[in-house]
Amino acid sequence: MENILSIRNLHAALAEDGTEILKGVNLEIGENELHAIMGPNGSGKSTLANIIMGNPKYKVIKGDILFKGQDIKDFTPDERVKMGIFMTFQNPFEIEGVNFNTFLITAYRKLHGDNESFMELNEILKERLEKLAVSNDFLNRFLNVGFSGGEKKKAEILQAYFLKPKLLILDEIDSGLDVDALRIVANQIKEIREDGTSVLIITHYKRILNYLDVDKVHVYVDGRIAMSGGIELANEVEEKGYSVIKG
Amino acid sequence: MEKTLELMLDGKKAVVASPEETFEGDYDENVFAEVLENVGNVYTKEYVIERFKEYIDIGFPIWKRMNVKNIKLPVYKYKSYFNDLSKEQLMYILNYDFEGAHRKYVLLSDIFSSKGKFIEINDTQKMILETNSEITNDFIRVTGDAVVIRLIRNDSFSNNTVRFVVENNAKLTLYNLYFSSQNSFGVNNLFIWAKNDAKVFVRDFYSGKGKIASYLGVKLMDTRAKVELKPYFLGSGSSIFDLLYLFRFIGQENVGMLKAEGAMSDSGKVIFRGILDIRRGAKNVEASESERCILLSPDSTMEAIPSLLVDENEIVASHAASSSPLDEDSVFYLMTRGFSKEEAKRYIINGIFESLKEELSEYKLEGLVENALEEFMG
Repeated sequence: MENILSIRNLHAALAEDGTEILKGVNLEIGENELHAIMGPNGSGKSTLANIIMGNPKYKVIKGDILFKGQDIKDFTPDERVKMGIFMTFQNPFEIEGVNFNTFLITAYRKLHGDNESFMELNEILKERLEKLAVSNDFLNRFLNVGFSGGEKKKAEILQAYFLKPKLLILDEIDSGLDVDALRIVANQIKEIREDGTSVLIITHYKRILNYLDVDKVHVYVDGRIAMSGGIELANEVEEKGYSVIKG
Repeated sequence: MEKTLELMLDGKKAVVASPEETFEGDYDENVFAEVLENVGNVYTKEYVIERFKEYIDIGFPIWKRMNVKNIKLPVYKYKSYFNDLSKEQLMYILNYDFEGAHRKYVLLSDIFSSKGKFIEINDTQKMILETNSEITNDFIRVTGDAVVIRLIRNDSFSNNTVRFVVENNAKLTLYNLYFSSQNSFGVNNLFIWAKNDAKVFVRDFYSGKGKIASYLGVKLMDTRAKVELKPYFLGSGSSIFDLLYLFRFIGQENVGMLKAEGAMSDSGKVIFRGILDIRRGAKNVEASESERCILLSPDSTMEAIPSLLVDENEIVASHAASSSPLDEDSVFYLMTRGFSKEEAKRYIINGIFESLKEELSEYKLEGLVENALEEFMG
């Protein structure tokens, strides 16, 4: 079966000054698989996520990014989303004056049409609030404005659930979450996977992986995947640190 | 008269530079004779005669920043100007005088207004004052809970003045909505005297492609008043908005907050001057000022000129200003939710004005801001 995401020998650099950040990334993610990328600070993990999404701050120098077999390198971020790729941000941006609820429903309709009524979509969102353990006014606030760190992450995972992507990229969704919030977010990821979504989770720590069924773990160092394996690789990293790849 | 800038320290006054002046295109004695013919009220007549003595000796300022070389005053028209003014009301007007963006324009309204009223609001009341390319002058005394909406449309020349006195425990909510067309020039002068425990909320909205010089001064003369000013601006084409806000803290325990936000495109320019003038003895005052402007084109500019004149130690004052292009990170974030770049920009710009629109929707006037946004975004 065709992989949902195929990254082949991907080299990319900062658009501004040409500094190379990705130095030959290879990654294959199959349908409904969950892959984790672990790596030290500054290794370029988040950059990889941004490049998959088409952030114009970066330019691809060479290599391919194939989504369901189609080269998406020249696609704009919104075109990639419409194909079914969704990314949650490590530090989601605050957008003043944009009502979260209206924003979500507008985004949903852009991606999936308007077969469902406003009421139906609202019901889905309301039901999620309980699962996320957030207050009822969560959706009535401006997008991420004044949200705590945990609320921002919950808002990101709510968007991921609601917008039903085929490939979900989670960029440090676990950072800054307390134990309870971590469990809640992990449960949401599990539910998202139940619909067949593939997941790429970028993290520093193994703790969120304990809640998930991980297919593959990749250790990412200096702009490339240096080692891949099963969940045991995450255990090894947890125990020995990133020195595992040296030896 | 309340001067705009009074630089004093230990009883010594600094000299404030004045712009060059011109008398070209000004109303003359003949036009003033027309005024006297039209003004029927004896106290109003007394008022304009007194003001004209000062007016004839002052020229129009040549503001280099506004690039206005010639003033083309409209043909004098009379509709209804302080028709029912009483002697007591005249005394009020005389007691509450100010310099504004330039004294000439305040006097121009005092004398040559086509319309204007002395309004007293004693209860809970909402009123709309509408003007179209006119010279106007109003005096509003609030002792109750007033909502005043000023709609100013200018496609040629406009000069509008209003004085507010917000008495003890009274509340004023003011929406000042200004729409300027290309090649228009307008001056808008407002002064608010806020007394004990007064509450004042002002939303000041400037939009369009014209040139606007505005002045909004607030004098906190007594104690425990709270004044919140939120200026918004949205300029495109070759617009120039020269906006001056002054808080003058005299009494104690007053609170003044100035928070300005807006966007400029094309070769639009906004000059934002915020003056927090805290006099000696104005203890326990809280004063804050912030400005933020999104510049949508390389030729659009914002010049922020904050002035904190503080002559009292026991106060809290702060200032912040920023002007920058549209935040590309925020645009990218919205695009990763399925929106095009253009839609993302609209979301961000619209978002600045969302609170204002929501407040105006209570009066079914949010469409005015929406239309201005539509015109701005193209």
